Amino acid sequence: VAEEVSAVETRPASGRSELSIADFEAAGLDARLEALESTIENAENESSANVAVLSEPLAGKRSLIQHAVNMLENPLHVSFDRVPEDDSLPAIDGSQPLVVENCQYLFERSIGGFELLDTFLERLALSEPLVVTSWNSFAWDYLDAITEVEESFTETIRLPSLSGGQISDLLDAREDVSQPGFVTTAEYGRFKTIDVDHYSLRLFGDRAVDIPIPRPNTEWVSSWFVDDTDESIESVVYEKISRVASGNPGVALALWRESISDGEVAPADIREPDADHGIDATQAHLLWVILCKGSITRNTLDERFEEVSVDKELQTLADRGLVVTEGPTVRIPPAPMSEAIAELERRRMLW
Amino acid sequence: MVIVLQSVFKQFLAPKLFTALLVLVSAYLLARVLGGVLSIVASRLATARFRVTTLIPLVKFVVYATATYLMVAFLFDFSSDQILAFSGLLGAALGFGLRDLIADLIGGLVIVTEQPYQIGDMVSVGEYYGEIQDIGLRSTKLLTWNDTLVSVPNFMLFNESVANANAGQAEMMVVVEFYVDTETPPGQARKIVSDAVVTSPFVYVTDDLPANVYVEDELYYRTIRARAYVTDLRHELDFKHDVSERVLDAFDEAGIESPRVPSELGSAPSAGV
Repeated sequence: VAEEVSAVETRPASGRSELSIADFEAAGLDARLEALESTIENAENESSANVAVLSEPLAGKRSLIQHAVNMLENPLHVSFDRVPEDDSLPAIDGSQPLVVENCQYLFERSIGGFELLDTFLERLALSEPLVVTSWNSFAWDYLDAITEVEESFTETIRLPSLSGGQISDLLDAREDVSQPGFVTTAEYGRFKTIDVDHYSLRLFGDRAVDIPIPRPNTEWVSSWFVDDTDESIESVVYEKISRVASGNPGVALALWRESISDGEVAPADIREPDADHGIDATQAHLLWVILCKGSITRNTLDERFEEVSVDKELQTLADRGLVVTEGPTVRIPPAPMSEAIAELERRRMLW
Repeated sequence: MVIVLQSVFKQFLAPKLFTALLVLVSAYLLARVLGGVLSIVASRLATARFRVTTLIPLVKFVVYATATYLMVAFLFDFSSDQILAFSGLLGAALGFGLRDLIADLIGGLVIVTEQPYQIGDMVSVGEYYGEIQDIGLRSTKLLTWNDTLVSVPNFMLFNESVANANAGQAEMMVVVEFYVDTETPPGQARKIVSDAVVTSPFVYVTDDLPANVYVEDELYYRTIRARAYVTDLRHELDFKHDVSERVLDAFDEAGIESPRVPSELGSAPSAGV
């Protein structure tokens, strides 16, 4: 396997939660795996297949990409961890399949910041071999809103949010869930008895109507009737973890580990995201950049935000518990990931 | 005679007046408290605040209408003939001193029911443009960009055109214009403005709410006009400032110049908003 991983790897720091293919299968995400596998198999018979694998940070796209690398015959594997120079963009020629990881680094949200992405997409359009790419889904959604990036790909595979049951299966497969005792506390914390799913009904043309569909939170409602038993508390714990993590498996794992205290876990121990952290527009923009890139160096932020005191703003974000700085790199830790997302959603900065 | 009147006042009228006053004060306090609570809830909802702010004037009207009904019912025990006579009296009052006040109240009622605007909207009424802060029984309060609170009588709704920039939605279209020299390659200037608009942290772009940039060729200059939605109408000035600042810097870097107009024709518009 030819691998041209860039200078700084994007491997998880200690404490971060990396998922394996076995975890995907345990969580019932076989369909996504099969989609990737069948696309790769079909690509051997077709030409010009371009695949985009999308997920939130920590949700497991790296494992899917590694799976693709293992499946392909002699692929060129490139991984970005910062905005690359023009000449470090991979050439797409011949018949060698290409796997490009972390394509969210191919653009900057600034004037002239899309030129590299345009060049890459242009090469992609003219390419013969299979190209598998991975993207941060928040960056992708933004790009799709302003440039319709999806049109450049024949297949997009988005890792879905996991339900409470899937989170439970995932934890069963990964963690020693028999270890902590499930205990109740006076208050379970905030729950929604009825949730609202949104179904998008396609109309003629590109129009779509958003139809809200109420969905009762059955795990929570059923727990009212089975009180103080491990089973009912357990289901509430998983439901709450799933809800707080917005179904993101990496965040769910981090929340699970964080919530266990003295060998016990209670629903009220699971932190609830606060959507309002009292940050200003500049700090929110910095947070968006960090979320979309996954991790970014302070130097890059300094160059990007020339008229802003980046260190001061990052300190405020760190004080609010939204980011951590590890040497030159800034990232959002797994546990407060939901809070950062909630803050940006509240400001309509996520698509 | 005076003693008899004082006795009647003390025995019958004073308690009724006191109770009516109590109802009025209670209604005022209740309306203030409910309005305050709803405002706090609305502020926590950020861009979804309009779902709550739309209720504030309605709640106030219900409270005041109930209070008025209770006061009238308590103070006066009208028969049908008396109601008829009172209607005549009311008509006369309308014709004279209370006409404007009643027009304001009816204007307020129309605002609550038809909702040509609601609290939080960006509205132009007459010569004023600003965010609606409160819709009262008699007047609407509007906060302009230079932090001036303007009270607009509700009856102006019947006499003036009201332009609502966002119609109860958080997002609002903002237009930013730049003027460049006719030598400027239009594609280059358009690309800079387009990039600046879609990369602004305040922009809101969807399939239904796209960002567009147009070039208009005039005799002595070219206009680059960007139209895009902001995530929240409160970011209108932030968006204009952010886009203008970055575009002007980029124009400088790219050597794009302001229009040059022959001096006999007067001053040219400068490259900018």
